[in-house]
Amino acid sequence: MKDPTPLDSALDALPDNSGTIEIDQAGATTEVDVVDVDRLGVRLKGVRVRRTRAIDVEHEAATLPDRLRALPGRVEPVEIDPSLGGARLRTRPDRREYFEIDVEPDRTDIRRTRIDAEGTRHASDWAMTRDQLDRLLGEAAGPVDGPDEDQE
Amino acid sequence: MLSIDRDLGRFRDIVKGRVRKDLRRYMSSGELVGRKGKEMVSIPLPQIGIPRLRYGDNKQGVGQGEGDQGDGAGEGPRAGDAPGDHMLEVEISVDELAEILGEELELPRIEPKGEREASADKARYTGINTVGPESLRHNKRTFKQALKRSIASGTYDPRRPIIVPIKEDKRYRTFEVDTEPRSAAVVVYMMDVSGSMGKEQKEIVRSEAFWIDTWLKHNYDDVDTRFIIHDATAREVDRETFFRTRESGGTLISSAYKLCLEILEHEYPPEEWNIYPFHFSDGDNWSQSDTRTCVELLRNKLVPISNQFSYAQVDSQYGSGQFIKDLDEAFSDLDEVCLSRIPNREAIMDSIKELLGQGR
Repeated sequence: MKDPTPLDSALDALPDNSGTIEIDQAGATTEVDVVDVDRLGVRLKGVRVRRTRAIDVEHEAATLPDRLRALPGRVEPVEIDPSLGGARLRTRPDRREYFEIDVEPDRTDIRRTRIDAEGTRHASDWAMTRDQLDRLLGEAAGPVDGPDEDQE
Repeated sequence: MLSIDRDLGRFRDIVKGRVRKDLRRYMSSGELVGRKGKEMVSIPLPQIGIPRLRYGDNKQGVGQGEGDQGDGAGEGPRAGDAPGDHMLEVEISVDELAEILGEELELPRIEPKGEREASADKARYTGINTVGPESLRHNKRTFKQALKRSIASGTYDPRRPIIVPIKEDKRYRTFEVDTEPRSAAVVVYMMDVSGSMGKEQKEIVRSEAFWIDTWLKHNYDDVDTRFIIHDATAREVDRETFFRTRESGGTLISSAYKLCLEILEHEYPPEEWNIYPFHFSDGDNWSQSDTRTCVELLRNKLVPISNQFSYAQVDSQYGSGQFIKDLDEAFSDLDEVCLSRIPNREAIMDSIKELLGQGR
């Protein structure tokens, strides 16, 4: 039997199987809003990565689509504008649902949106296995070296 | 009517019938965009083939002629290497095209707002003067004057009625400048050129703009067209740049509305001009706070001076399309705000009808 990961420990410690958990990773703190959890999977409604060091938004928006594989669809940058404070990436809105990621220098937010029949957008929760969620947190916080550091 | 005129008339009727029949295709394919001159539009039509009998050698058909049972039938026709039929290009006037558009889409004629008429100066030769250039000499008046002088001075001989005008008899036409009202409109096209608006979306906007131009020019004597592109900032550009530019920045729609207002306030007094702002976007605004700014700008400034404010949202692959929903909620009480969603090229015709169907 494998040792529990920090994610497992945080999820298992949730009272009533719901609430917000915090996990410290190298250079970042990740928050997950959990709606429900059991031994296999998690239903969640948002992930926030808060970094201690600012990153290059344009570089992050360019590399995140290839790095982020735990989501069911590929994200693509929709708009990148550091002057407005960040970048927005999105999965293709199939069946009127999509994942949206806002990247700012010190944080990355992941959420899911559903568009109802009248065209109104709602925040929507989604389910993942614990392993998938663990991978998602790692990929979202992952190596985010800017272009200058790549050249070193 | 001359027979050639009658034939030409019939030909034009056929052409118009074909254009009418294929209007939806022309609108969705964008075939006519770029074929528009100042007065005429060049339209590609498949040539009309008239069936006729051809005489030739009687060739043997299948099951006839030499050969034994079981022999191959030989080679059939192969793919040709010659060019196919050429399309016939015919020209119809922009006005005729607009009429077809209006009839097919059942568009009501636009009623220019009563006082929103611009003045235009027009010279008319209505007066007579004793001085002027010889090119404007009024011969009838001149000889009449000479006749009057001749009778008054007793030199007129009815048996030999020769009248020779002298310098004092000469009369010249003079013109007066009439100021007559002309209905004038300004169309301000605004387009989101942020990263999420791709080539396909721009082509759809180009087609829409072509048909809107055609209809408005048919309804007004003078139409001024201005172009604004925006991502997080807005700038005025020429028509070519408008359809070609692609930026990667975020979208602040309010930047376009502010620039549009600036242009209108400085150059187009609403008492003289019929004002038509058209905005095209994929509906992704950067923030809800900017959307609130847009709603305020529209409600308090842009819509009150416009005949109609039109917003058309072109679906994009990754677009959320939220902005049209926000406008719909904010302006359901205002008929002057017209909204249209364009999911793809096939929807252009319906969108044009939505935008121009109010008759404003």
